Amino acid sequence: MDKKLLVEYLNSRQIPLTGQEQMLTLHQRLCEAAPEFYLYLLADPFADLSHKREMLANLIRLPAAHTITRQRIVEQLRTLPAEEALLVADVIRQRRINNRRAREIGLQLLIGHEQFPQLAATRRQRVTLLLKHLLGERTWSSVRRFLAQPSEVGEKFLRRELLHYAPDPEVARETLCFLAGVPFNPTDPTLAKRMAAREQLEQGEGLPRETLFGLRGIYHRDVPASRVRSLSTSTARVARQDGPLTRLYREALLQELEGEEYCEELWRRTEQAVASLPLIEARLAVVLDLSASMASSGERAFHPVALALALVRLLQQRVTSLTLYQVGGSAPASEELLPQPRGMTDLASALLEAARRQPQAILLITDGYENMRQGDAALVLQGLRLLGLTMPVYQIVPVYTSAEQLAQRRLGDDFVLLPVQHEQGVREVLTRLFLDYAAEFISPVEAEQVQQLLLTR
Amino acid sequence: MMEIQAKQEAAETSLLTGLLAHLVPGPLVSWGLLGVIGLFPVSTGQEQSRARFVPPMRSLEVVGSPNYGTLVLRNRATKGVLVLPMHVAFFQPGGQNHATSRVLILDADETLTADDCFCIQQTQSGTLNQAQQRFSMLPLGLRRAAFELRGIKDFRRLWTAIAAYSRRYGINYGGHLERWLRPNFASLLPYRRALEWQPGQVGAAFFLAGRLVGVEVAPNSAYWTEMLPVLLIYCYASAALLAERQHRAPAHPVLDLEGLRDLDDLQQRLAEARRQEQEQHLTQLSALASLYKRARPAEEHAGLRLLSISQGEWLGQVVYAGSEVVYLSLFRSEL
Repeated sequence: MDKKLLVEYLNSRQIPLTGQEQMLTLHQRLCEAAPEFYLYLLADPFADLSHKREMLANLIRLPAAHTITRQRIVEQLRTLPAEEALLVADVIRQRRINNRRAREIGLQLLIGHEQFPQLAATRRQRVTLLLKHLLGERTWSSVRRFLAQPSEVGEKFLRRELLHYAPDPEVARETLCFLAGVPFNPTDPTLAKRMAAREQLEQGEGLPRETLFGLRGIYHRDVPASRVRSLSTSTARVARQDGPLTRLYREALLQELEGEEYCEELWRRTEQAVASLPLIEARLAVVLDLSASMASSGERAFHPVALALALVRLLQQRVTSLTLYQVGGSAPASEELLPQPRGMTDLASALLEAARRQPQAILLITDGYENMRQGDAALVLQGLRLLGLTMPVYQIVPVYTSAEQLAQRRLGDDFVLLPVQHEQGVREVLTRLFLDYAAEFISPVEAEQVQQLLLTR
Repeated sequence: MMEIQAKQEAAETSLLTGLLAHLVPGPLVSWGLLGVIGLFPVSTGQEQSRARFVPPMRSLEVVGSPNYGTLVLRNRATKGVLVLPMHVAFFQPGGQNHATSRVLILDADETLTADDCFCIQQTQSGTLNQAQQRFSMLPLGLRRAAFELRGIKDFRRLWTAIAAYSRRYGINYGGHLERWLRPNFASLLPYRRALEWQPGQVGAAFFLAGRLVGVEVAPNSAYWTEMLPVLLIYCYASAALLAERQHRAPAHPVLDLEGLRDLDDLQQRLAEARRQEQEQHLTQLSALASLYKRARPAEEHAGLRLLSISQGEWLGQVVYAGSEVVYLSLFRSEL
């Protein structure tokens, strides 16, 4: 596989695909070059949904991917959360993909999914439309008829077309009745709740907000929106899922804990975090920004610094040679001492120092608020290039949300900008370091290593 | 280490006098077109001797606003004097926003009625409610008008200036400051993040595209810690934002990379460019310190003297405790 393809994928995977020819071609080439590897990308937790939809479409349509069985594609889709898997599979309907492979994958995924009743109850319209597409209008009509008027012939038909995919045929039958609008007595609690909410919205307490608003629009127009919001599950503010090391560092900084109070736990969590990460042979210089702005404030208080420290910790464990250069901070960071973010941001001087030992790559882990002086780091990098130092220089920005605007905080065009939202982002950093020193064409063994770096949890 | 060394170098190369005699400048930091030189006390004893000045945000209570243009303020601290900075504003939902027109001094537990405040919210009626305050400050571009209109009892008198100021940002809502602030707030916040507070700091000189535009000094570092974000976001960043929109050029000495020999050479050139820039900025700051000769007494209270300064382009107020400056807010009227 061409290394450039992989680098391009890494550069673009978090950006939604909006039909750009170049991006669609990239997916096609990736799939054709390494279909096995491409299959695993379906489970990439950092890829935007639109990329996964493109992947599924390619895995179904492109002849190069036909060596991969339907069953394996379904298994890969099942590693995704149920709702996400449904949204990915919906690409079959939206692109009007009509073939046996698509139909089998779609039906195995839907009917065979443990959460089929829940998906039907909360995403009824989407599931029904997808089923209709997969079966075809005529077969769907027959399904409805046979569900409403049970018969021996009908039963055989239902088994042949649908129920044989299901782990529990009775629950699947119930769910299909619900989707087809055929009267039945629900035993599944989510379906029962959904049905009861038609009569009385309060009965649907705990269903997703969109589902309840949908029911309100049809059956309960007088119920105020505030009531619907109070009945729904609080999906609007999903709790932040920081990594274990980030959480620990953040707590230690907030509570100003001493080294001995968290050291043991730090080791335990580090061991767990690095267990699935391979060791990377590289000589790396890391510039760690611990200036005052890394403290941030409000709900983000100490998040940038905690995430930065977690990334450094993981890199120290998984890169064979790493030299750390610290900018700012109340004290030099060590295992026993956790410095508070403090002082100015002189990244240019630190970058210059880091370059002296001619490492293979330099990482600047910083929020990008370079204040001494803004633009000096870019000029120093320009100077390094003039002096013939060509090592890649990355700016890794610990971000709180992917929506953060980084244009103003980018140190310069020559820096490879990598926003990292979670300590698992270290995987991408390690992958890039690995790729920097791989040959132009990656062998299957190397591809497997990349896969392990990016995707194994 | 580098930071301490930079401060020492700055102290050696510049001797501040007059109004800033008790202060040592730190290194220049900048973001966009806004540059800041932190000011630090000459001696550590100074901080302790000024512990009696309480920080404004924690200590101030806006008791209410009985009439438009009048604010009733209380120093919540039972020990300690509150020097309320000039041109602070109070924003809160559903009521009338106000700003002060001058420095106010409140002794411990004292309640003060200031009837020469500005209403800064022309298009919505209502008055301030207790405990709904949000501390803010007038933008630098409005402070000249506010200074010149101090002491006059007409709550509407800043509306024309606010309307003209907002129009420069393309906002046409009359004398309603929050209507200017709301759409620009996200652009102002990065200045606060970038221009970081430094331990022990008690003041700062602010530069716009390399030109000194303001000096602010607080009695102690606890006071400054509270004031710096407010000054940065609302007062000085607003001027920097406008300057950026007007495409004003930054005044950085360029780091010349022509004929670069090695890494040591690069390091020297970087240090030299920074030293030159620091020197340019400190020269302006030193010249400003002589303004103390032209201060006029305005008020005496709680053992403190408040003086107003109006000299050439520079306007502001200074508070003395004996012969020592404990508070200073000076700004350039023409940006």
